Amino acid sequence: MNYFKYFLIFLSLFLSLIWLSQILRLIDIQYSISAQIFELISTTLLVLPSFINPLLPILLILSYLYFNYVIKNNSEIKIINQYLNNKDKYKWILIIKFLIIIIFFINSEIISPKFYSKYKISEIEIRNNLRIGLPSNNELHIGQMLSIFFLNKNNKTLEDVEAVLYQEGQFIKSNLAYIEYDKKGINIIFVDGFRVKLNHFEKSKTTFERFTFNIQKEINNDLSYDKDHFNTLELLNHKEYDFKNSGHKRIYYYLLLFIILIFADKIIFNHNVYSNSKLKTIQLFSFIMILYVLNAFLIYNLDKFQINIISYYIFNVLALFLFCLFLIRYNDN
Amino acid sequence: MIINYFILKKIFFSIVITLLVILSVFFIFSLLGNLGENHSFQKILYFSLLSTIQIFFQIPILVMFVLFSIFYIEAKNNNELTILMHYISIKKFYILFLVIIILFTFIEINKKTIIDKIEDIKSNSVNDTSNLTKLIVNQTNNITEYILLKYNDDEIYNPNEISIFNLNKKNLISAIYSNNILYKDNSFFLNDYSELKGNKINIYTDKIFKFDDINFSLLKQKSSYIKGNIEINLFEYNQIIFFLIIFFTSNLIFVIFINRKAMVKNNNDNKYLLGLSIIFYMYFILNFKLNEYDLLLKNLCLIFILSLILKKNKYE
Repeated sequence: MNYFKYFLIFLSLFLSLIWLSQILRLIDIQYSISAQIFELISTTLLVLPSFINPLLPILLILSYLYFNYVIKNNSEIKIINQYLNNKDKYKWILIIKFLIIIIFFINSEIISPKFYSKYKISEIEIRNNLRIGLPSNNELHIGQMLSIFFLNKNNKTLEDVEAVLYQEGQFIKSNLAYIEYDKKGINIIFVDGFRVKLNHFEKSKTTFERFTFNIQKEINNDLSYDKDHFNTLELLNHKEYDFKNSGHKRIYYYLLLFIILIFADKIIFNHNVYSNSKLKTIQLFSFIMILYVLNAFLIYNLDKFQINIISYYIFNVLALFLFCLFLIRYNDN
Repeated sequence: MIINYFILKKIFFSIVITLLVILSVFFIFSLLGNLGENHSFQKILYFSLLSTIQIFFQIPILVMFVLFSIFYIEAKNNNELTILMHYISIKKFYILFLVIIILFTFIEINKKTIIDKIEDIKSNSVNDTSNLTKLIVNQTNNITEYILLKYNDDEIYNPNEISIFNLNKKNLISAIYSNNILYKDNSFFLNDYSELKGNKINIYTDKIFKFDDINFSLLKQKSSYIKGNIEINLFEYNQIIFFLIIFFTSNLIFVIFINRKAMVKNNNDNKYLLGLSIIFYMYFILNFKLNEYDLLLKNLCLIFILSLILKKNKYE
């Protein structure tokens, strides 16, 4: 049970780190979230299954190392090795390994593409809403178009407003402003004020009771399909080259996961207490990092047509073979 | 002295492990995300490194939580923490950890600036020319100055057009526009310019207007909106309460892990769940803004965190 517990702890810890960073990243994109925070949390939750698969091998390694550290320090490893026969020892571990593979497969092929599709739709809505979301710090900035500064906010109405419209070099001062948005776009309505227009073509100052600034064209509702929308088979059969490559990348993650699961016992039941034990841990961690960077490098070259798919697999399999050799000798003194 | 050295060694070990593990996972996460970008692989690695640092600075308190967890696990596993707590008081422990708490509080408060700086480095590396309009806002003595600069290229000293709007609290004092600008000795010289004063617009073709009310180092920022010399009131209540919430949340995480009850082998307190919940609560409160009673909400959050610290410290 501890075997699975530590895996779950690491998985949830890193997912929560990434989840929170995603939420805060989206918050930083715009200037306030206020009313949309629950929407934001639920939306970013939908993208988490897509993060699990590529990170799972390294998280498994981390949880194994930690599990080994715990049982080694409590001397439980000696008890396990002395009193449990191999059949008992590996029976449960085998079941859990099998469970991890099933979770990985279902997540990779069914859950993550489905959730990602939902996430993408919701994300576009949020991004569009956030661009005009309820502002904080008494400021609201919309891209390279408009900056609004105000004294107070009362419900959806901004009070004592100063605004700069970038393109026309226009300055607006009004008593009130409010934002209306529908499916087609955003209207910012300034009430009771004046505007100064200073540009090459026009230099003027006019007063108004109501002035509407429309940013309809800037709203993006297009849903473009990316690689996370598809499962492995769909990616491999996709007509676009980089989508196909992404399918091969997923196959690589399956291979990496299998190897880590096969040699998991070597890491978990490592009873090496000599000084080189820490060095081996660092080597293992560095090795897995190198595997990730190498795979990224090969995918990059594959996308740029600098290598073909056979070379991609040859280099990866060679690296995985070396990794296997390292894991076989991991327990040796 | 030896005990202090021993604890410092443990803290250092925890910092190294935390940074190594967290930065590695974030690096892979960023690398996989950046692979689709149209840059050289070296540049992708460089951007991934910058993104890694960005993610790190986005959640400093969570990183601190991981650091304390690792310290706790490392020290508790060999019963070292129990022995240490016999010899030194929790206050001394606290003093040793205070530097870390203050450092992470400082990062949390200033994270936006740090993240923006990294974003600037990223934008500078790709010669991003998307932000060709810059708005600088200066605020001094109740006068607000909006400076709008339009560019055709990345050359910050060579804007095509400049518009300056000066306001006191209620009224527009003046507005100046020019599309004939020369940069010399840290000033812009507007050769032909139009000036609006009151309701009258004057166009000057034979006069030069010297404009030196601009901090040129700020213009190097890639973002289109730049805050100029805005007077910052360090003693603004809102800022103080933000600082206090972050600082005491960090303290709470410390007392969750380092207390006498936590030394007990079969202690069933779920420190990890409690710590994570507190951090999520803190981020929620700091980013949630009520239209009314917002300050009250923040004060209540502070009282809640302080009461939890007192509860945890009750038998120390």
